[in-house]
Amino acid sequence: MRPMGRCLVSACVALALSAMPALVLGAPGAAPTFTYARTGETETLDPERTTAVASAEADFLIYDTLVSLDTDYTYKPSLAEKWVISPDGKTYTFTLRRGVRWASGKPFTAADVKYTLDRWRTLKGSPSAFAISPVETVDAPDPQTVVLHLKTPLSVLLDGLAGPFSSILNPDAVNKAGDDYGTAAGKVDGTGPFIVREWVRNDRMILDRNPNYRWGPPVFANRGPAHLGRVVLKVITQDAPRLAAVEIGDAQYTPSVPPQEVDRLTKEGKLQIIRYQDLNTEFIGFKLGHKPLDDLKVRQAINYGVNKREIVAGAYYGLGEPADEVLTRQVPGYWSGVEKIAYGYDPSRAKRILDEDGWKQPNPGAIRVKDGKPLSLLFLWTPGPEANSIVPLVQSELRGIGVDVRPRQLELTAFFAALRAGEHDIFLIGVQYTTADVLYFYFKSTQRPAPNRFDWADPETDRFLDISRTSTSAAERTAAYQKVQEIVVQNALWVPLVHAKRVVVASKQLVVPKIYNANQLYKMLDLDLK
Amino acid sequence: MAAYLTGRLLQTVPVLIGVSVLVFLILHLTPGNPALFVAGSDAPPEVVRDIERSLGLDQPLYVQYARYVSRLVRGDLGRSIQAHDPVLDHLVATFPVTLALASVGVLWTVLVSVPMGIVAAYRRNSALDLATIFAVLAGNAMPVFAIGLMLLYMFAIHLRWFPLTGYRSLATLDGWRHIALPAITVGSGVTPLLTRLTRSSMLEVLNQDYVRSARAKGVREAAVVIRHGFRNALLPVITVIGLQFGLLLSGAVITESIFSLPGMGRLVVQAIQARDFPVVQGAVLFFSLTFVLISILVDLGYAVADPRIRYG
Repeated sequence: MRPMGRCLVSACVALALSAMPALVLGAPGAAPTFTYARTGETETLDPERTTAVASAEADFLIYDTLVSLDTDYTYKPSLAEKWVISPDGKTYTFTLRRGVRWASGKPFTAADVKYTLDRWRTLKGSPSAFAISPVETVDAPDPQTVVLHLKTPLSVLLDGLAGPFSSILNPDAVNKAGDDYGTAAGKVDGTGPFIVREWVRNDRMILDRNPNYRWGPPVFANRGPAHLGRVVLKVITQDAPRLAAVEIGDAQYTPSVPPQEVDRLTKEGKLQIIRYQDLNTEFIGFKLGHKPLDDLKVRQAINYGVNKREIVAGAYYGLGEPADEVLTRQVPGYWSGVEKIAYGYDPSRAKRILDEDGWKQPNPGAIRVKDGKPLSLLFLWTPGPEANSIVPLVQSELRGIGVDVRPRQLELTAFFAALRAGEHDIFLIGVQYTTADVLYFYFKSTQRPAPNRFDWADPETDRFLDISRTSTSAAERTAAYQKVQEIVVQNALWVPLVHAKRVVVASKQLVVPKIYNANQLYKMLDLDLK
Repeated sequence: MAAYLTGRLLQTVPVLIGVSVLVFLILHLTPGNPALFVAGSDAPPEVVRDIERSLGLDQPLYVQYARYVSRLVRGDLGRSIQAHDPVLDHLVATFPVTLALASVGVLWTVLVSVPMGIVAAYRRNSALDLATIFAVLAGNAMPVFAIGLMLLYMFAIHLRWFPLTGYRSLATLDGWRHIALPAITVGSGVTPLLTRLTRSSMLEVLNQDYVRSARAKGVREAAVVIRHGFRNALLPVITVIGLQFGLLLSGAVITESIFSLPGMGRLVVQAIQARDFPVVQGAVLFFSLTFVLISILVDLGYAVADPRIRYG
């Protein structure tokens, strides 16, 4: 062998040997390292400045919130041991847990909560501050008590206080870092179960277990410290390498799996395939201000003309349920009566409605025309694994009843800008939620032009939505939500398509007792590696 | 030489001014709103308005540009809209990754293309030459992402010789393992062009009189090919290497995405998607400056390769 050849072989062998997979479990008895293959990067670790899902993943590990959200959508203690809501719904008194400390060592007190909530309410450009906008003042009468005074009652306040953006901050750390708070590993402090050790943007965030953590919320069997010694949040944006990372053992979990891969992975049986249902609805929305969508008959016909079962099968590979109603059944406030008035797939009825409404087909298969104008709709959408299949399916189905659909594909940011500008006739979007308050977001008249992209402005709907937020009676709030669902269906404001089933993939060594709905692994306190 | 260098460096000023105006206009005229990205798609209208106000996006375009330029002349590239940290920090963090990727990629290309091109030209019309031409055609026809994915499946997933994703410093062997597949991938995009160019350039010089004279003088064949042949064929090769290196430094976006490298290409793509104007503007200015500097270095390289070229 020539010298050059020997060198090449030596180099290959050296590379191959050093390519031995890193030991996941470390030394015997050591707390294991868990690698989480994530889809996107945390924007900032300042929770009050972002609403990004990837930031939330890290926030839940680093920080704690006053209350926590359980898998049955009930609120449980966290940093607040208990709370009392005044009869008029305008005062919330939280009693804080004792013995909590910041990662930096300082004891946690009510003053920290007051600082956090005051900063959040007044932070210029905070995308989430509206979640506590009715809060007028925050008092900390003693180190263990926090009192929130509201201008008007807000039934979903606890939901806001359980979210990642309401993570409680250490005033000392925020003041020390100034504008740079949350931008790097050394510029953050929390009371959470993990501490940021290293953060290389767009590559990895390494978090070490907080050994003093004993105050985990009761939604976990293990209240702390975490079983895992280290968590590596590894960014792999491309679907194929991300899934491959779990398959070859470089990572033990990924929260997002292409639906077309689920069948193969299930058959191979090498990984855990965990399916769960969070609260989500994929739908087609109508812009009521654009003719002919101001015509209820047209909207109803389109509702009858879309075959949701075919969409579940074709676009979701069966991983979902056809959505006839507005909300998923699991959400508190869901109205079962909606099923009796929902629009099923009935293309004959769709055609009949359009015929009766004066939309005539010059010949079979042609686009319908009324007063010389064709029934043609601009359909805005943004690409995604499911959307790529849904759009042609909807286009073909609606063409079958004589409706012309003109899809226009836009990149995500341009898509939302176009919707806000009202360029659409119809649009495809998915929404994920934790309460029925999603109805307020989407159908309250003051939410136009977005997220009320329907142009829906109805005093009766507004009245019920106001009741749903401000009433102190749970029964009254439920009745209001139900009334809004009825109005939405009766007025055919959208075409609900699918409640998607989520699928995550984990290695068989990973012990995953629960998936916390949209929060997925949440604080990872019960997570372990065998 | 000093006067030449000063002149060339001064030329970068109008280039950078032109680039800053163009990028600013293109970004602000592109549909999409950074406030919307920060607020989240379902944010209430007043939240989006508040964020627009806090970012100064409610001001007329000329006011926004004036603010941008006034910051720029003070050396302040601004803060990222998404991450809230200085743009310079992002550039400083991502540039070494892209520099390593481009450098190792070009090194790989040179190591493969130049010998292949020389041998193919020297053995013109032989089976080896035909094989080279076929390899060049195949390489040209294959998109970089396909090469990257194939390398990934073969060497990282199937054989597990290399890590799947990520970046480590090249000061360690682990760093070289991490950069190997991405560098071969980006290099593969340039290899066919450089091989073809080396071959045609060599073919031209190997037929020159001075090569025949060298052989007639009894110079060793290897010296004829390398010293008399290749050195004279080097100028176009240097130009292409320089330009391609500049292009790779401008972000090998696809490769960085496939291998999840935290480089500038991904930074810019994500910033464009989020309409993170300060990051895009800062990165494009940085790319322009890098590109201009590399052009100057290439010009200086001509003088080294060909003593007849003198500047100043």
